[in-house]
Amino acid sequence: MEYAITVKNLSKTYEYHKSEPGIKNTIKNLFHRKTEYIHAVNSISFDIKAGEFIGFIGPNGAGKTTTLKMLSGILYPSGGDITVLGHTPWKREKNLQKQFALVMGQKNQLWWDLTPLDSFELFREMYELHEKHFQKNLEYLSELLGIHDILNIQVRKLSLGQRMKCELAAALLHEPKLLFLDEPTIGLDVVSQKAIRDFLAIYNREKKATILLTSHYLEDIRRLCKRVMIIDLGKIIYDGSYINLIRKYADTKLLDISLRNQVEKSKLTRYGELISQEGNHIKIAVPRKKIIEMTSKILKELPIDDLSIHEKSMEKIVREIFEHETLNRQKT
Amino acid sequence: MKKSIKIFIQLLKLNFKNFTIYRTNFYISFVATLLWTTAYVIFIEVIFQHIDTLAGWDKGGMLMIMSFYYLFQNVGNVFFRDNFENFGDAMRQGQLDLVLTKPASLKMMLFFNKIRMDSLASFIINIFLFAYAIRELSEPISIEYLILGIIYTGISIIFFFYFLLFITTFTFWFQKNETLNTIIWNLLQIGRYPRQIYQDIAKIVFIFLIPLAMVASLPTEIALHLGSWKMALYFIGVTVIFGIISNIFFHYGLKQYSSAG
Repeated sequence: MEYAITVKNLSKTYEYHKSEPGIKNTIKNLFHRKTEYIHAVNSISFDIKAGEFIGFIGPNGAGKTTTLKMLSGILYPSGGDITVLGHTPWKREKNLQKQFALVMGQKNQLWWDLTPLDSFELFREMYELHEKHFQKNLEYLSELLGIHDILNIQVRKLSLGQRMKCELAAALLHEPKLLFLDEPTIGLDVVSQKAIRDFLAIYNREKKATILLTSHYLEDIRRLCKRVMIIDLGKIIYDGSYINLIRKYADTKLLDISLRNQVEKSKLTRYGELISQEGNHIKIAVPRKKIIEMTSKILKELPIDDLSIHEKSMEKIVREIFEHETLNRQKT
Repeated sequence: MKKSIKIFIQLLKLNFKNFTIYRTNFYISFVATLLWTTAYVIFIEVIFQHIDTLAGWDKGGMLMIMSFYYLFQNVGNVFFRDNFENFGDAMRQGQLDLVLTKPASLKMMLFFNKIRMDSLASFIINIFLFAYAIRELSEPISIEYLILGIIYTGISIIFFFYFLLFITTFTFWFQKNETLNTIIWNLLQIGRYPRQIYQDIAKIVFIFLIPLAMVASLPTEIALHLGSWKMALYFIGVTVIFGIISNIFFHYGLKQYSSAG
């Protein structure tokens, strides 16, 4: 079996200085600082097959980005081994760098005052792309991302969604076999999120690229990834199929409802599990499969003022998995 | 090497486009450099109204040192000064991340990324300064030796680049490099005077250990054919050693990079 990525006992420990508030402590810190250590990634192991599209999720500070940075050679690990396309990433061999791309939703690589096309020219030289190859890829990406008309507009004048599409195009000009995506849809509106998602799905299918995606939005993962890895406090707490994850831990959606007047509790429990009731404001957990049926029923039968549907939060899923794992360990 | 040259040309093109957007800076830079240079020329004129020579150098020689010093400083200002100065901020804000994943010379992408085209205005003034200095020389200068002096200024620039790289590498541990930068750019003033004025410990430190006193003085001596070939060879040797040590140290420092966010 061909693996694009192999990770064994990977760890990363950061050193930081603890500072306490107040002038007195600030002066004290000038002479003596307390050094502490944080284990951002704590001995994780996994393999990724070539062509897989994997969702790498977890709450803030769980270790997702640190892992991605070690996989792409930005950070040196404190321990463990990584093989990416047969190379050790932190050696930063050009041969490996030409085969992967990293896109970070919160960091730009396009020149702010120039047009996307100007930056693309620089990348063309970096990746030593022949003119024909470059034009062919640019045409393909512009078509798929719908960015033909904005390639000659200054980056700073583009919307966040347009900019992200151009960032993606810049990262993919050299047709990488492996793509690391760190929150590529962060801050985007629903339409732009969908456009990016659709693009990634097509790219993965057509180019057989291996993609590792981190995202806060479960919707991104649901639409794109068959396999999901969940990391929390530097440890992988779930590695398996998305379907299994949802079946086990997120089989319900949350209906957030404001009523025009108060309704009896017994009436509300008919639609699902009543999570909370504070005056006219209620929250009901409804099984994923029944969400459409129950929502239309509620709209018909209850005096609705406002209604919204939410996914179970990542934090909640992680907490449940954690509790589940702890319980399992206690049983054995 | 061919690839690096192509990337460098692209960087020049992008920076030139950037410059055309904010071209007012060009005029500001021109005026500022003109004022500084004029002030310094007046300073030398005033001094040489009272003395005939300084450490064996007459007014024409001093003006030549000054011309070579500005040439050296201008190249640094245009190509890498801003990049070194902003390195601490870039490092703390995690802006090195994407650069580290690119199949291109890391040092070029980090330290030649922002090229100050507006500072090119300084070169125009530099040419006038050279012309003035040559006119004031007591002996005529040969064009071949003048070119050799300019080539040697290139070695001074390479030496200074590696010196900056060595010092900047400490940023990986200190996190901030403002203080280091201030010290370095102030220390650089040592280079604007004849190296002969430095004696005892200053001579050992600034001519032999960290030859900052030679950056303009030595190219001038070469251009004026004053026979400093031993020192010229020594300076090349020190530059090579600094290059090797700085590269090793920089790559060791890179292991400490912890990024951000």
